[in-house]
Amino acid sequence: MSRPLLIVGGGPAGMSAALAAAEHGVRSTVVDEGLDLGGQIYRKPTRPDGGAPPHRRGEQLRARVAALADRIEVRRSAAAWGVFEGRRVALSQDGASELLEPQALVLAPGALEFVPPFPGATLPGVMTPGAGQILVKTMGISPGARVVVAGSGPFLLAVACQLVAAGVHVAAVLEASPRAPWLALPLSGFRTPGLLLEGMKYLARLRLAGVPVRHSRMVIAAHGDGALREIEHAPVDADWNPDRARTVREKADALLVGFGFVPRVQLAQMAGCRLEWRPEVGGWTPVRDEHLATTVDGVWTAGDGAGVAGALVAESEGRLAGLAAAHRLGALDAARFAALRAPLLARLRRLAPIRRALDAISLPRPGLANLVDDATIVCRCEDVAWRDVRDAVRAGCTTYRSLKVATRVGMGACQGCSCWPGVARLVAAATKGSPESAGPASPRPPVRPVTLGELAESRIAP
Amino acid sequence: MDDVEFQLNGEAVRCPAGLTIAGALFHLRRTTTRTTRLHAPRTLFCGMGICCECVMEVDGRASVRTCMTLVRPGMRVDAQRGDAELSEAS
Repeated sequence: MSRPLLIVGGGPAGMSAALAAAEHGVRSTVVDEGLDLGGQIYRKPTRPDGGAPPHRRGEQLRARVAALADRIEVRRSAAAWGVFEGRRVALSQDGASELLEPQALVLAPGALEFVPPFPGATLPGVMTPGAGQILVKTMGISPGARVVVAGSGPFLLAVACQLVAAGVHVAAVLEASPRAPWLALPLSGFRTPGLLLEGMKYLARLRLAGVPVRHSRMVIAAHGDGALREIEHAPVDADWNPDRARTVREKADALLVGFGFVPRVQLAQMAGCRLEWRPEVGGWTPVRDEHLATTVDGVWTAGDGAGVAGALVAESEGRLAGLAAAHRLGALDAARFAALRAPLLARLRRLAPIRRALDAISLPRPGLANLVDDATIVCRCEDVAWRDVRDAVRAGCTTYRSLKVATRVGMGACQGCSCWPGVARLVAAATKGSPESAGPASPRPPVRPVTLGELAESRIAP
Repeated sequence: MDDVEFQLNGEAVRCPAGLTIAGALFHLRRTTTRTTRLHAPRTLFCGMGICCECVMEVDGRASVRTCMTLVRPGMRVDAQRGDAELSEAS
């Protein structure tokens, strides 16, 4: 028997939703693919004798969820791989699948890092900043002996600092944006001095460690035979078009590269939620009303998966979604719901300006579409090269659906989750249009690797 | 302390406790988890279970995401080749 409320994702948004609902007596299940609650931002170290101490806020949220164990059931290492008829969720855990049928569903899946295709990007040793952070922070493992961190956005500095603190040799941080947006931060950031101070602290620490932070520079290619050996980087203009005449080659056996974040919307899509194109928060996001309800009855979304805005916004959104679900389930009357949501809405309004400033820094610029050559792999799962996609675009295929049929792009295990945001930009550049017109990737269950045997045993017909 | 022993591609190897399989591969400086249909080597990329670049065969089960799975003593971990993951996974 499923509990009335199901929350997919146990990061700050998901945990906050469960807590808010539990405070009004609502019993919920929180499922998360990770080894423990916390999401990416509050990920807990797994190695007892290594890694960094866990984030304090993450520990607090985990402790509060644990204290309400009678109302909040937590299922770890549990992957939601499909959503059917609105809010029936297929879940895989320990090699077995089952269907959960809650009356209310909160989706809090978080975001993934945006890595556009570039030559050599599939070489072992090239990874997202998040992957490098997980290695060093939760396991005390160095991603390489000589590491370059590249891309855009404040997350790069945080990761570079964590690497340095762990004794990893960071050769450089390459930030594609010019210095100017950084200087703009203090003005818009004064309302949340915590975030600003953190940024300054990162820069000071990197300076102290002798790690150069170079602005208006971008990685344009990676080289190596079977593994990364060398990268090429070049200065870029305001639109991030590289000046190839001034390319520099640099040795590196690990390249941590990412250009901001993209909301994970696969589950919302399978639930039937309508999406809208909001490039300022990462691309396609579920359409929501002011209480975070999607266009599907009984389904809410909260946190970065509904538009990238960081952990503080995720917590407030999670609480709001949890309250809205509790209200729907009859555990909270309209007057109490109104009283409790008012301060959350006010807080979300206060957090908006700092987010806009941070977004302006990492928002991908059109020059990112100028890195591919004919042979560049644009879809990692299916080994699809740019020349195949380009030829299909020239032949008139300009949407996800038509390109998938013509080239297999986005057809692999990740179902376009990793590649499509980048390919859509390439298609937009080739057609002089917007990534919006290429449409979102459209996932089909199962969106996680589930064996045929497990599917057959579960009796869930996707 | 490298105190967990497991089988990697048929060879006994050791790593500290509390590592994911992907973490253990980096610890061992052996990074390839799978090869693609064009025989290109791949390994950990997103680190959080989305990209499926780091899938391997674990204790006979195909397409296990090694970034989401902790090493257990005696575990059998094998590289996946070509389209192996597709035959079982989808």
